[in-house]
Amino acid sequence: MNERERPRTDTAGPAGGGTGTPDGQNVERIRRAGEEFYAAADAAIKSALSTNHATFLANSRQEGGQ
Amino acid sequence: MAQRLLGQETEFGFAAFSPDGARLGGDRPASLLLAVAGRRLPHLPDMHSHGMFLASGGRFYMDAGHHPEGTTPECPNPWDVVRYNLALEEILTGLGAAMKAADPGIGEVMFFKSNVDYSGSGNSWGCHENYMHCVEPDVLTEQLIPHLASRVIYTGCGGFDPFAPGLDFMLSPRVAHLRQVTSADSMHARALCDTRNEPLAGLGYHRAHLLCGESLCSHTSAWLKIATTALVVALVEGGVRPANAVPLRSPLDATRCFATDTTCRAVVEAASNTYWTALGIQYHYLALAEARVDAPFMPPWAGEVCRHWSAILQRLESAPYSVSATLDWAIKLVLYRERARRRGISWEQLPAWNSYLADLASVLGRQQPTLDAVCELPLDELKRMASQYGLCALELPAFLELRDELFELDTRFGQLGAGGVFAALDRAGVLHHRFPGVDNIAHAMVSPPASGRARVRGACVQRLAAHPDEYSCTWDQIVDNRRNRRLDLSDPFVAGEAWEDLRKAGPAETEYARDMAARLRTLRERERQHVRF
Repeated sequence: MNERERPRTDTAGPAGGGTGTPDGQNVERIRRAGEEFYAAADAAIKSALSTNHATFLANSRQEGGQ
Repeated sequence: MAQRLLGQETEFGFAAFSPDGARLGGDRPASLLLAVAGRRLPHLPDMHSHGMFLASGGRFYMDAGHHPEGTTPECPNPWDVVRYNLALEEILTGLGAAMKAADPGIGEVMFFKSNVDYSGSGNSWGCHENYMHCVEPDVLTEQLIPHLASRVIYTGCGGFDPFAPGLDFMLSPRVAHLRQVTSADSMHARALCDTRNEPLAGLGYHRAHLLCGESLCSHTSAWLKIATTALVVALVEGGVRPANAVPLRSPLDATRCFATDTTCRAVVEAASNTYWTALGIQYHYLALAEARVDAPFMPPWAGEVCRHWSAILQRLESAPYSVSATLDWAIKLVLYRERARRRGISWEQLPAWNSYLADLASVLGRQQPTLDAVCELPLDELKRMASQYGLCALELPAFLELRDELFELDTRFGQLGAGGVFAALDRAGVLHHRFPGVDNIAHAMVSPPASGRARVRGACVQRLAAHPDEYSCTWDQIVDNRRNRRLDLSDPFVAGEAWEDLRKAGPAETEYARDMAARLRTLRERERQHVRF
């Protein structure tokens, strides 16, 4: 393998916190961020999606580009 | 430090509907969009198409398949490329609203920042990158390929393989449409690198034209795509040969492998009998760039690119989850997993469902089995086939409904305007995708970049747009048909206006001017015919 060992310098992480490996201090923050994310997603999807997905896909069919 | 010019061409998905929800087909929506753009946007007509050059110095026109296409002006840095692309999206959103206002027969206009169609058509459209360079094109292509194959771990827009019968999540669904490593055919044999020799400039400059990228919602992802690739181009121009250490045995297979691996741990083989992950290849390119940030052939922003490049690789290496509010594919992955869970289908079960669907597709003779088609098969047969994968056939309707829901969700994710899912998540403040310096979009809608020939072109458009019938424009020149003069923009770094009087020119130039004037008259006539709706 050719991957290099490097120091961890980045601090941004999932939904704004942590280095990607949730530790005790971050778990609660990540859990809250997750809840907020899914709540926002529910609202966005409810507003965006049609009631008949197959019909939407057929009606919005795109021709080939480049 | 070396000056660079970069840009991006984005084809958008486009659909217009009547007030009662019927899709408007044919040329009418595209013609109306162009007509509205012609009325609302200061512009000079494009010499070669039914399009226009804008006050930003960029271009707007209709591309193959009725896709509106916006091209950024030639930009001196990756921040500007992202800014000008966002400005094009704002412009397009405004044009959609103006279309509705102009024609009572239009009830809704949608633009999608996506690149694949999920209706079963197998169609794709592009988001192409352009990098000016002075290297032998074949050399640059060869040196770019491992980078392009592996960068999908942070540049993929996420989505599903549109050719699969089930739900095959991919970091980069555009990869499913790539058929070659290099090709000059951008519609039937799409490749990682396009080999058309169209520099659109003189003085020995070339243009690397990349077809494998995707339209991205995350500003961070969009910036990284352009910034890292621009640095690789600079490295190669400086004589560095990064791909020599990573001669991928099969670049297309490697790209597909990386594009389907959400763990970023998949390994591919190089011809040197070494094995590489996408992260490994990216760290290799990064190390070469980091060692040369102050080299004269590197741009002044090389150090900043390396810092952000390194940071994203570290996050992906430590845990892909750490980018789940930042990168397009990772945002989609958490979103879609949750939708599947709520429908009672575990993400880990998808491979079994996909195998089951592949069997059904084979039996039914269709690429994507629908519920109606599946119901034509005997229930006992459906149960027998499902049991081979440990599945219950009675859950098939739920899976097919989930598939269509996620296909629509993936299309709606990048829908322009307030109704898009990404836009809604961004407004809710749950994403962390914004990038410092990618701002002042309103300025980019009406003003060119601060340097390069786009600055001159944009200034001309601003000043001359009141008389569009008198001028025609293309990337490397503006022709004044009334006064018989021409502004040469073949030098990408030209700093001022120097109009050439074609009346004093030789016969070749005079003939050229006549030809351009004739083309413009033809285009104008066609345009008048097109806008009769």
